Amino acid sequence: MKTKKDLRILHLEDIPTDAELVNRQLRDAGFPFVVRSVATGDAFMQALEEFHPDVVLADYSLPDFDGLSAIQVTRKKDPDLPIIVVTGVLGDEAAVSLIKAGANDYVLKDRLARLGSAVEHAVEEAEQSRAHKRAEAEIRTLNAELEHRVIARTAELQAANGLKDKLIVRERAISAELEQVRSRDVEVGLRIQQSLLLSQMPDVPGLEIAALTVPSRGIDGDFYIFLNHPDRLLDVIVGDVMGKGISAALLGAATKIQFFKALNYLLTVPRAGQLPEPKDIVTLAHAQIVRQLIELESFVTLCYVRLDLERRVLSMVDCGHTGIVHWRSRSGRCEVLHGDSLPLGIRDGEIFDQISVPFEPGDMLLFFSDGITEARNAAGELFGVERLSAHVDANAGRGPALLADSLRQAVSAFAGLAPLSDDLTSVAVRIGEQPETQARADMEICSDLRELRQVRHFVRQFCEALGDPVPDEDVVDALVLAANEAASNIMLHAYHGRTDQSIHVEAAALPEAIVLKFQHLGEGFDPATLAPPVLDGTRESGFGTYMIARSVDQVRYYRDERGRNCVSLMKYRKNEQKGMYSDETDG
Amino acid sequence: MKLTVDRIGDVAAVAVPVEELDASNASELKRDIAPVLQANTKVVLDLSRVRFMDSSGLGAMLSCLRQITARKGDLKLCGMSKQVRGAFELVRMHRIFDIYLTRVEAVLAFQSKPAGVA
Repeated sequence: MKTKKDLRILHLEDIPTDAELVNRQLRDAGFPFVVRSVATGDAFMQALEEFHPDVVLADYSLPDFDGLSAIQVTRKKDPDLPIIVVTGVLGDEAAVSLIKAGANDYVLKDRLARLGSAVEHAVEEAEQSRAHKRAEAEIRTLNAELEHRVIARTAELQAANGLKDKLIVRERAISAELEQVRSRDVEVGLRIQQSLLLSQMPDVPGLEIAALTVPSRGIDGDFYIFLNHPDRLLDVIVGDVMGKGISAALLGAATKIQFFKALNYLLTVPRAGQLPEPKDIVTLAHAQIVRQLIELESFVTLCYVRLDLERRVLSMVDCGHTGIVHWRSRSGRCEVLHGDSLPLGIRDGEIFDQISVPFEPGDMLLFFSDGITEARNAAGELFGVERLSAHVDANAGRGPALLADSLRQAVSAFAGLAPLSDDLTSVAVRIGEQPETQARADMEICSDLRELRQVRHFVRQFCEALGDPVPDEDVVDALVLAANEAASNIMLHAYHGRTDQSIHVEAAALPEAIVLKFQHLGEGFDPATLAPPVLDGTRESGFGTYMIARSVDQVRYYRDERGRNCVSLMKYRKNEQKGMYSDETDG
Repeated sequence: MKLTVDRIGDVAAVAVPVEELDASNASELKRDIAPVLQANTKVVLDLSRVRFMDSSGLGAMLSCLRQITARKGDLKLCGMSKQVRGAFELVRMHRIFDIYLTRVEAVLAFQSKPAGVA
């Protein structure tokens, strides 16, 4: 027994000699103790309250208070206070009921030698039981505390989750907004590109031109310009602004405007009927824009090429651009032509040089942006100039439209699923065998309806002056009517009835057909927006456009490279397909 | 536009006095012929001087027809050149109008046949 304190023993016994026997036995056991002996139930209960025993010994049968009662009282007072019954005789049944009632042990009076160890054992057990209970209580407290903390933490987590959900919702809203802004940026950039950066294809006899632009995710400032000059000279300018988005698109548009301005300015300088040279145009345009480019920390690569179809030579200023691919029909092979000028916006005061290269009918020229050569595949390889050259060699014979389109497909297939990081721009020009223009004439009229007569007269005279073969009368009548309707549409609708505007009329006779072209600066016309004509007699107008379409073999409404709106009418000289006024539905 | 109206019985025959009827003078014709259309129910429009007619001229013809039809009258055309006939056919107006080769045929048609049958 570990305790050093005296063990406090309460002894219930009505027979003094028995009490003394027990005392003696305890003293023999060898542990220190104090004992209080009581002989009655009342005294026992009082002692329980006052004496604070460590262990209780109780005789089984007292006259007024038996062992069972003692057990009950003791248990009530303290469930862990050990109680040992000391008795004379005890049947098995009684012993079981004692233990059931809560006694820790029992010792027979004729075997008192066991008492000491029984007491020690019971006290030890009680201590263990108390320690156990304390531990349990502690565990319960700890558990409660833990549970409390879990609840608190859970609440915290739930709050955090709620916050997280809110943050996710907000983040999604922000992403959606950002996406919207981005797509708006792309959309605006696209619109700028379509309207300001990309020009209409020029209509140059003897040239086939196809242009293709595939915008990347962000719009680049890729642009191209066609300038159709008299005397069979065509300028093609292809440029690429560093950077992306609206700013690049606007910078492209600004650069483009500088080229128009520079050309216009140089055209006013008399130079014996000669067009200003590409290098002079580039140098002047660059001087106008270089400071802004440097300030904006941007630059423009550009290729300015003039095709002289009469002399069959091209002049090129290559300002850090990709160069152009020149495919020769004679050899069936291509080479990349390069210049060595700096990009625009690098150095103030830069003077640009040009190179000259001869070409022949059947040759193909391909202008391209670095979006093509710098497209990457999944392995990170560049499409490169070699692949481009090989593609041109293999496809140039198919004509410009198929070349541009097949090139786009080849680059897309090469890049696979990787998104294009750069615009793909390509312009393919095939030098055709020149159609021999047999006659050409032009005139200028003002937008007064009284001038319609002059238009008719001009067309009729032009046609009737053509010899070998003389055009059919039906063909002439149809052209006169179509020309009249085209001119009157321009006066009434494009110029809204203003009579002081000008209309340029051009007539050209090709071996197979006669072409009439009307150029004006009035509002453009899109035949797709026109309602079909009502021919049941309930409408008195709206026939003009329909009559034009029925009178000639081809009508084109377009905006030319100088921003003029044009209507071009083509009619075959022989009325092969149908009589002029034949009406298929007419029985 | 000075119009001359010839009366043959109850038929009024009007010659269009220009060689070219286009957007520049079609509205003039419409304006000047209106009184004739108001005063008569049987009108012959003689186009034999007209060498060229455009869509505005066709519009003027339709305008005349509608005005007189609204008054239960009838309009017949005559003297079309090849070009004018062609323009009518191009927009299928030859199906809407009663068209005769000569002024006499047109006037006779009013007298011998019910309106609307050519």
